[in-house]
Amino acid sequence: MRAQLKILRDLWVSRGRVAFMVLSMATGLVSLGTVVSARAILQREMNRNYMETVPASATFDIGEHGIDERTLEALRRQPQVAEAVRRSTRSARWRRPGQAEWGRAKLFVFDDFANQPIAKIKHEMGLAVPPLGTVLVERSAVSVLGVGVGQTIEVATSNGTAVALEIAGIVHEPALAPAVTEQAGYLYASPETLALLGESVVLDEIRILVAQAPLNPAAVEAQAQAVARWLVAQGTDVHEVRVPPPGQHPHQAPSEVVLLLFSIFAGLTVVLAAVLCASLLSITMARQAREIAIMKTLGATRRQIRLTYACMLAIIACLALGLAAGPTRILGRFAANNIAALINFDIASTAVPHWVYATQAWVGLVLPLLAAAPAINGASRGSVLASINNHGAGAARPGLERWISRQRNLVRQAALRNALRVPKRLLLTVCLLGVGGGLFIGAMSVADAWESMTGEVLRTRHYDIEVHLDDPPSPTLLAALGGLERVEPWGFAPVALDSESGLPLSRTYPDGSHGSFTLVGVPPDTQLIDFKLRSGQWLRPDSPHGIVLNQLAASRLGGPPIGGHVSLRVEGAATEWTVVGVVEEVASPAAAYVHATAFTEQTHQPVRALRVALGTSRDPASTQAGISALERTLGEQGAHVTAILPLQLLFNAMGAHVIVLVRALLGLALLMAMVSMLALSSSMSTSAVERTREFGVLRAVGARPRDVRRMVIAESLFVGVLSLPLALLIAVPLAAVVGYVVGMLSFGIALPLALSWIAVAVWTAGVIIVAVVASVAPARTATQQSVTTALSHV
Amino acid sequence: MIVSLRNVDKTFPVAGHPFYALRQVDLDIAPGTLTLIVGKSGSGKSTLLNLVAGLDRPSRGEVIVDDTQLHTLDEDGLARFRGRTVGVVFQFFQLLPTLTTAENVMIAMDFVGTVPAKDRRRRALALLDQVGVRSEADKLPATLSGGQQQRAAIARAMANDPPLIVADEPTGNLDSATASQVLRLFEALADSGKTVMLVTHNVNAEAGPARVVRLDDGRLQHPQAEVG
Repeated sequence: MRAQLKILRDLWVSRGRVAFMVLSMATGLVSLGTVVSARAILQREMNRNYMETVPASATFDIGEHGIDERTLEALRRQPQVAEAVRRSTRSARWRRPGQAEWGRAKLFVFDDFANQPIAKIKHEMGLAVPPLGTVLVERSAVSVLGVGVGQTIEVATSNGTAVALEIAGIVHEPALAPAVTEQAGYLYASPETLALLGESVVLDEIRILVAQAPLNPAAVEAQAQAVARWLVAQGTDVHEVRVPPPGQHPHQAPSEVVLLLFSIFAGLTVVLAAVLCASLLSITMARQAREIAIMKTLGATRRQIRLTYACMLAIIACLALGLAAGPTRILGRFAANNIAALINFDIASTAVPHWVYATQAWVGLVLPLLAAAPAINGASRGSVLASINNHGAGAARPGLERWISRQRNLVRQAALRNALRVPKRLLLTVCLLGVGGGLFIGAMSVADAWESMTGEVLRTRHYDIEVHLDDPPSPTLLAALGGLERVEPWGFAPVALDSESGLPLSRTYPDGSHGSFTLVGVPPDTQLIDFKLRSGQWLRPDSPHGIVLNQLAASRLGGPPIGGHVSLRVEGAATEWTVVGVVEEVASPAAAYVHATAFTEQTHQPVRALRVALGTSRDPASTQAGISALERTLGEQGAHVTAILPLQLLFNAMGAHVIVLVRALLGLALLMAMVSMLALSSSMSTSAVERTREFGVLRAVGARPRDVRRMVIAESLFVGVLSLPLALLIAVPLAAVVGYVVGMLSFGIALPLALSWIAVAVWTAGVIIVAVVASVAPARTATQQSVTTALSHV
Repeated sequence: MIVSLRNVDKTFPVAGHPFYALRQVDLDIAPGTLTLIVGKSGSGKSTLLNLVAGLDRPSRGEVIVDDTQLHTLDEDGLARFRGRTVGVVFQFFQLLPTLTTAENVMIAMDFVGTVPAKDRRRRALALLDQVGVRSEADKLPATLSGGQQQRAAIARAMANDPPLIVADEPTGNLDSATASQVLRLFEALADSGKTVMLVTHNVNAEAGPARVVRLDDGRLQHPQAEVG
């Protein structure tokens, strides 16, 4: 049909505007496609990586007596058990030979490296079975240790002296967080090597895979409890039963949060692009109002007109989809690979499921059509005569006109009138720019808030180092540390909750940190923490059995009221507490704070840790110097150190988690900014091109090219400035809502609402620059034409 | 009668009050005639033509064209009516700028669909030949002179072989020699049995055997006057 031929030629004639539409839509589609394809790849690959390790359904902490081979065999024959292995996880320290500082390490002990039916590690390099006196290293820890296969490190546990161990091989355990983000060295050793370190060789963990429905949480829990009861009946101590969420990688939930956030912003970007596309189409249709009227005069029905312009938009959408396909493929894989590296798992296939492309195509075709539907419908319904007589421009409202007339500067008056001459277009441009600015500033504000949350780690904790000892600190040791700003003895013990079977149950993953819950014994006069109270009060001397929960512990316990009672199992001992307060604590698993004396009384555990404020600046060099001095003193006093954890470590770990995500969010913000800037530049350049003839008239009556350009710039600035309040109006609630959702899902705390003034400044500058550049170029072209040529412009 | 207007008023709101562009107009046009609608600027000539062409609706009264009561039709009904029954020629030609001359004629057939698709180009070329611009068939309108564009517009108006041709100041944008040639075309159309209604502001310029309908301030004057 000739109508379709007309569309193709119209598209070619308006190729500049069409390029804007295609580019903006393609940008939106790339951002959406990247996020959706990365999400699809990550979900599939994370699940595959994790399930390939055949993760244990449950881990039993069986204490220092362990179980013998005969009982283990009998356990394997239990109807609830598909597989069972013995393991142990020990805290240790490591350093390179000749190095003074110690680093934190986790030592995983396997009784049989050759046979790993469940909780498998994947061999990557060197030996798969570490001989006596050697260890395997998890691949993500190689960069932390700074050594490779065949090299040696010193390893020490609290019980023994430092022993030089050779790195025999490198393995991969996808269920572990990367060593870099946890700032820990992951080592694997045999019980015999453990004995070299002076540790008991008893393996104090049993990991099982349940026989029935291993992915059903209720079934897993029931079977784990039955096994626990059987173990107890065999005379085995069961201190704790750990049942992490079945089939769910420890990083699955946080990854979902991040990808959800990205999906929200990517979705908004593509909506923004679709609206821009629709608005540009409506500009095209407004310019073609007369042609539409002619077609109607020739007998075109409303349906035929609608179909004609829907077809035009569909061609643009197809071009955008074609343009977006390549970058989407590349960026989706790039994002998936980067996030996989961040979470420490391998991507076997970057194949993107077909439904992702189908979704992208559907969004790319349907969204612009939906956005343009009112404009297309309006044009098809408009009266023929009104369309034929349409000149595009209208007069400003009387009130506005009075305000414009009061402007002393004639250039400013003309600029304002021009900006208001096509009110619909002005409204669309301002709205698009406002929404784009709102999204940009909102995203940047969320990124800022996320970073600021990292800062909370240092702001609310006034100590520099946490030292875990094998024995309670003696008064002599405390006196020897008297020169430091402040030293407080603290107690830490893992918490489990009573289950139906009466056995303590927790959701802790086998790495011992994800999903953990810790009871913390605090000195009554502590000055080393300053968490924000959410409700109730901090521990007071008159409530010796009071407990303060952090937000995650409160959630884990079902949100007990202030004054309510809670029962916690600590190392097998039942403890009872009265809730006195709930605090907000960033970057910590579930934790509950009690008086140190009550901690010892109820848990029968001594206080075996120190929190130390060095009194120096918190930079890494000063902290390291403080640690070295502290280690010397501890060594002189004969204290056995299990672990030294600088606070900076927690800060760095959280920073490493956040930085990549913040950068990705900024990337999305930039895409949104790009779409909005395209809207502004297209509107400004269209307006300037349309007025070529008017510029000719102005020059005919004596205006210099410079005067024309000044007028156009003033108009552009007016539009840009008009959009700023709208951008702020959108940015604030957007940052608040997204910050609340993301904060609650990530930390259990809403992210602080703080508008990014840098984003506001960048946005304002961007708007001004783009507005000026987009309008000056066509104005310059128009003013460089002869007056007669400009006057003949249609 | 092919065109009948009965007690037709057409008003437009001006400053909150109705402005009468046409007032109590009664008019009958016989088939196969050439009618000139004349009057001063603002007298209501174009408004009358727009009502007959189905481009606008009366505020009061009835407009019947070729047995169709236009005031009863919805927008799509009017579009179908225009496509089949009326050929419209504008003062400024109004050819679609991105289609060639022949395509401009064919698009009218596309919308209505009465001419089989395979015959459309042949018919378009025949019509362009009839109005003397066959050689310009594959050129874009911008490359044609005003007279050539108006001839092409007349060919387009004839695309679906409508019984009624209406033209609003079809010679208003042409030099006198070209205007005369265009007028001859309309006379020839009337001679071939088409009903032709032309709006013009200068009756002396429009020669030929035509009925003249004069409008003054929206009222019909001397409805039966004839020239030529």
